[in-house]
Amino acid sequence: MLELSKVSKDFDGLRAVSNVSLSVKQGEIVGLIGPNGSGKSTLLNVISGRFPVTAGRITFQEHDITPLSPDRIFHLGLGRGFQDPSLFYQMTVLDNTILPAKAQKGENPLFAPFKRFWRQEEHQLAERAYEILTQIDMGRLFGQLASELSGGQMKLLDIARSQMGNPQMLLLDEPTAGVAPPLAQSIFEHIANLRQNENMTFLIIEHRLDMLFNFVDRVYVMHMGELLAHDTPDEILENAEVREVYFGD
Amino acid sequence: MFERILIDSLIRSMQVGSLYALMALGITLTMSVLKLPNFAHAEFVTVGAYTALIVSRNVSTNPIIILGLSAIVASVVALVSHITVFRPFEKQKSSIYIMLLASFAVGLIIRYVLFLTADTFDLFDQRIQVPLEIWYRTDNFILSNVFFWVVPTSIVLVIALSLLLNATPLGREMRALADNFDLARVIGIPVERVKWLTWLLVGALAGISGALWGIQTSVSPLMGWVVILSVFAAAILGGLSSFPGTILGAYVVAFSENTIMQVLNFQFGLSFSFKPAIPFIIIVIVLLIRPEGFTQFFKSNRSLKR
Amino acid sequence: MNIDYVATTIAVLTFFGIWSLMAISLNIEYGVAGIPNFGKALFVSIGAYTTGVTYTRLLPILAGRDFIHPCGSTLADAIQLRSDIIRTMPVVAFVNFGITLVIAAVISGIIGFAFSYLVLRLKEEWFLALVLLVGGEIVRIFVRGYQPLICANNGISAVSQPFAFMGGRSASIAFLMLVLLIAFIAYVYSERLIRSPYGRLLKAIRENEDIARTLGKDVAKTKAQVMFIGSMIAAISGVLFAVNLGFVNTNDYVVTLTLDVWVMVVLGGLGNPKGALLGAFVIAVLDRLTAIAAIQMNMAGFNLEFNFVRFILFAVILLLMMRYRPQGILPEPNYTTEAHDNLTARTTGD
Ligand SMILES: Nc1ncnc2c1ncn2[C@@H]1O[C@H](COP(=O)(O)OP(=O)(O)O)[C@@H](O)[C@H]1O
Ligand SMILES: [Mg+2]
Repeated sequence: MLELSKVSKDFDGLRAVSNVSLSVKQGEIVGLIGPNGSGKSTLLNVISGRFPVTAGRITFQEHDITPLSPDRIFHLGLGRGFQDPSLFYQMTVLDNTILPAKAQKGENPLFAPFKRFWRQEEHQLAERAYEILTQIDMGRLFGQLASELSGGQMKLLDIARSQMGNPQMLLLDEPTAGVAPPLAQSIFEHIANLRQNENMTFLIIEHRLDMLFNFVDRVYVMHMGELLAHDTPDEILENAEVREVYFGD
Repeated sequence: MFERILIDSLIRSMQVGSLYALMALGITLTMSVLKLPNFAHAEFVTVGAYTALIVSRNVSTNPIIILGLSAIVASVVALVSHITVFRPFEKQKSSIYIMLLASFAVGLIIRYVLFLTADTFDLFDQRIQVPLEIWYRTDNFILSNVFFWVVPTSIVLVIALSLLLNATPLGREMRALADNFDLARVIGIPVERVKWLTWLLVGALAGISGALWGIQTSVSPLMGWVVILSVFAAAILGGLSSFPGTILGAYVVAFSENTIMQVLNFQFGLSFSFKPAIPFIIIVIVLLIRPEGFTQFFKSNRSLKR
Repeated sequence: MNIDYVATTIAVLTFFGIWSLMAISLNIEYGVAGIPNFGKALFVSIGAYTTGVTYTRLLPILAGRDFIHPCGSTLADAIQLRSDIIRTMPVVAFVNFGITLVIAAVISGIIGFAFSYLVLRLKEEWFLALVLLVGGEIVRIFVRGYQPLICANNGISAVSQPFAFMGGRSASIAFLMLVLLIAFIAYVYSERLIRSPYGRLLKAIRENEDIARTLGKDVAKTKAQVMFIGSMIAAISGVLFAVNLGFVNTNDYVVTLTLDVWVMVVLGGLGNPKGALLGAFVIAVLDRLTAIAAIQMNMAGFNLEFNFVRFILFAVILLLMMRYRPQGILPEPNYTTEAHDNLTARTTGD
């Protein structure tokens, strides 16, 4: 489904991602781990089109998405979450959730002033958004400003929001960072449900290895911008190199 | 005939360019150290010119005294603007657009206070009373001592400023601020004090350039505003960060406005009414096509980084 | 001196209507979408210059009269021709006026649209402000320098408003009604826009355009649309401004006009169309009051140009507002589409 071949990314001469090749198949949940500063977030930003690549090629469902802008990539069905939840804090939870819905008639400045063009659609979107919010137990919060949420709720909303565009695949950047363990567990269960019920595919960056490993099929390990290893969760912990960069032994 | 016009315009370019350099260095300093696109700089210049006018009439015609007092008054005005307006907005973490608007507002206030003053005391389009000596004259060309005031003074000031920035503790601190504001604070640079001194310096530069500009032409409340966009064009050519780039930019703008305009007029009959468009076109082209300006020519130089 | 209160009120309200349009357009651009349009004078001036051109070129054609060159030796004849047509052929005057509005809006919209794509290349955000500001000055200098357009420095006079045939006070009242109607339509449009999904999109872009982009929004296109809309409204206000004054002159469309509009929007409340109206109203009243005060003081023998005080006053208002009440007199409400109400009704009904 997602295929990276020899992707590199430089910042002013600093090589943040170097020659990374990886692939994710339809329906998989794949983990991406590595110490801080190893280039994981940068890689995600490159895949989602936020940063242009320096070298390499990225394909998503047979499309070459390397040169595409982030909005085009999103429209192809590749959504993402953010490491620091980047919500629209001056908007309500519901508006945050509806916003990513694609091809809204009401987002055309000619139709927008006339409710009859989009009332129906907006109503359906709101119902769907509410349903998604209910799945993560945030239904009753729909009218609150995003800035009023707790840290954990913000992370949840970040994921819920990207669901709204009906993506086939989601890239998540530390979805449980700074979240209490019980809530983290339920975030992962939510992800597993999405795979089960909607056949979604995931590439997840995560530091909580214990939790992550219960849910993923495979794991890639990055270190200093390069791909260090790639294996199933059980095997990867046996890998000496990985143990060295990760646990220092 | 043509040669004469050409020489005349070249000398004018030199003279105007030197003054643009002085003013544009002020813009570059505020932009890189204080992170403010300061349109009120125009009015600091005008304040300098009016100070020079008043001093030359009532106190002394000694150039040193005139320039000195212009520098002092304009730097006080600059510092007061910082304390009363710009610093509170900085504290408030206002966006750059609010800062930009604030600088326009400060400029407007100063400009129209000057208008009121000029109106009351009949000080429109006045000449600064300095002894004018004609050094060389032909039919349509005059070389006076004004040229020898303006150009060397500017050059001396530019050199002094470079020394200040590169060889004094204050200069080091200012460059640190320009480079990385937060880091500068962390490593214990007295940020607020450096800002104050920068404002004083910027105001003094503007004041002196205003006085010299007034000596060269005449003094009116709009004089700073009329040239400010030419000056911004020069600073933008310098990438809003490089000192040598800004100086080169100042001469390029002055040369375009005078010599190139003169040639276009002489050869193609282009009306002088299009002259004010030149700096604007420079601004738009540079910002769109080469926003770094001349900075790359001066990479090795220890210019102010942003 | 006697003040003609009715005439003053009509004048203030007419200016209020025209400035409202400018304030509404800047409010959509900066208040809602976060685009710092420091080129308001440019887009307003496009309306005015278009007026100058249509009144001298199109009007005679529509009236079936011979074209008289508007500048130079035939200036007086050309003025006579315009006044004749407008006074005696109201239908022609109206058609000409309508076409002027359309042409001005379209040209200005396209220029705004083009600018917005041009500025994608800019390295820093505030360069947009500078480019737009400077763009206005470039256009002004060329219009002023290029004689055939609006007679350079002289401008075009006798570009009367279309109700002029009615003469006297009824003409000004009729024109006032037209201005207020146009302003009201623009207000309703912006008010509805903000409460629609499009408004949600604009708010998202204002808050974080990078994130909006990764959530599938074409930010560049949206900003270009906003500039198109805003510039159209500004040009319409420019046409009204010119025919209200009765002449087109480049000196009216300078940076201080742009700043006036910013004062209105900051004063009234960024992001709130009601604020734009309020700001325009306060400024229209203050503007007129200072003008009257200036006249009164001159009559009373004071040798002070009180008009200068206007600029100081507005600048001080701007600074005080930004410092002590940056959200404006009428802060932006928390707009939501009616989906919220529906959900509220449903979830509390459960
Ligand atoms: N926008 C940026 N500009 C410059 N350097 C960056 C940028 N983003 C990340 N980096 C650098 O790239 C490297 C990798 O960072 P990141 O991808 O955030 O690591 P991780 O997510 O694995 O912790 C770091 O050295 C970081 O400083
Ligand atoms: Mg990271």
